[in-house]
Amino acid sequence: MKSLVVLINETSLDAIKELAAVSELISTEAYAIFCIDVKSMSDEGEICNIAPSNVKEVYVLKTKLGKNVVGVLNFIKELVSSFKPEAIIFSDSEDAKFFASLLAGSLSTAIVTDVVDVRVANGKLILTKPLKEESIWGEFEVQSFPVVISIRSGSFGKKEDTRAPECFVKEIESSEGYWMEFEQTASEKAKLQTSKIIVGIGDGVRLSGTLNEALELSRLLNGEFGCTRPLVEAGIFDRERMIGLTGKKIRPKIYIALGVSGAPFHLSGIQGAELILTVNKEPSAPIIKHSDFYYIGDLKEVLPKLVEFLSVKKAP
Amino acid sequence: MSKCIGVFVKYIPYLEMINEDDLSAIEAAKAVKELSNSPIRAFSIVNANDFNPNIAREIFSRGADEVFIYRTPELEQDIHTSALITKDIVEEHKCNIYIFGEMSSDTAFNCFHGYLASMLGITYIKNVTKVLEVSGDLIVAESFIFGGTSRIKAKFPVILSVSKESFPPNPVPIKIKLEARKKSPNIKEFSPESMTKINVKARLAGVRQPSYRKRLQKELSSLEEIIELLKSIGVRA
Repeated sequence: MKSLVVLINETSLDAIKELAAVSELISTEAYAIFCIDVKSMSDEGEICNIAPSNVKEVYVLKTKLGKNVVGVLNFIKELVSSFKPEAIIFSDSEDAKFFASLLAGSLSTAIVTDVVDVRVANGKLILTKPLKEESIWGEFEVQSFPVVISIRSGSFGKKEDTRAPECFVKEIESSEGYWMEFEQTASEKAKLQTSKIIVGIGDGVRLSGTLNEALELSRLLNGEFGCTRPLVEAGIFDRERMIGLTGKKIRPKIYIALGVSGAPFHLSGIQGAELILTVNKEPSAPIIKHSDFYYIGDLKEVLPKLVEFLSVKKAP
Repeated sequence: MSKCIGVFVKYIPYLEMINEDDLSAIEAAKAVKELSNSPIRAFSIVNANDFNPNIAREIFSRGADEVFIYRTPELEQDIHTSALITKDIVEEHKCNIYIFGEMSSDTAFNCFHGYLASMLGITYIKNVTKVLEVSGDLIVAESFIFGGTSRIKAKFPVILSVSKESFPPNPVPIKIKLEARKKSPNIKEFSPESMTKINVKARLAGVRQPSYRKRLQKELSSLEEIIELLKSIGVRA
């Protein structure tokens, strides 16, 4: 079996290592495509120089994604048609899911999203994904191939052994428009997908009136801050800060969850964090079970002290 | 093409309520109606065994002008199957705009709309945060996509997905709820024969309890321990 892994606007080695690990569960041979928005890409060197050892060839497409939706789709379809992979594996970013859904629909093929487990049993490919607000996991038996899969970050290991793959770089200036006009009016400021330290702001922060301290903590740690869905719904932060199922999926070295209850929507976005530290006054909050370290305490007491400690340390 | 705004609304039988993201889709449809004066046509696909007459009343009270309930036999939880059924409805009504809630399909997590649009060969605008203009056969919308906010112009027919935070569901006054009880939905049946043409692409073969990655779950007893932890992993102020 062959698989094609597709990364949209993601260049981290960790992301391809996880997709390669999934492809190894399904197939013996993998090919990778990176589709990168030219504005976020200065050098394709690392992508071309290092790839997981089961990735035979790497294709890099540099383009303006919004202006070339059809061009990107056609590029992926050309490789699908020449390699004939049984599985086409995408990450779970919203941009990746956009292309995954368009690709699967145009091929009229199977698609299973947010996959958390992959196995082959009795010659059948079984893909597991959450259902019913994550209260149960459903096991889907793939009936026809190719199957388009989007995997949930942090649910799989990483394929650590690497080698230099064969690399092909292509640039598309413009192609047939998918939309009549596309104009980006504001760029994202939050760098949640690349940040090593992320402070997560939950409703508990808002309710305890410690929003400024939480933001200050993130600044002092040279980190980024993200938030849960209720804070976006309340208009406190923009959607670009939202972590969760239809928001950002993060992979920091440490995620510091402040006043975050641990709703399934949010938990699905933080599984890729290496370490989770939670501060919450509620010992029964579901996030505790998903934390490596937790401190039960009132944010009104904890945050000013943490900020004070770090401020003193930072002072010249 | 008909001058109508189609909205798909999912009834969740085990919660006995309408998916909240789909209530947002109705709110978005109302915003489009203000700009276009087109009627809102709501569609709900329900398992014949789960049919509840309150669904239509609730959808009418939210602002739909017409409600169509499609009763089907038990369906596989397969995106391809859902897309084929939805495709039949889209082709029957031929509205120029179709709107879905972001998480309207439990199995697809924001992928169903793109799949359907691509299968139908029509344009899809994901994560619409604002509808700016509707005129002639064009729509201009603001969308959160590709790492920022974008202004997108597209030609009809078009499928939009909208989020709850951009189009929050509004509470419905009792008077409107009572008026909605007087309206009748169109109820249609999908015959078992029409279902035989469907080839399931991914079959739900079983369920199991969630088992997330195991974490240490170690309690820290003082603020100093938090600081020590941050230092130990190299976090520097």
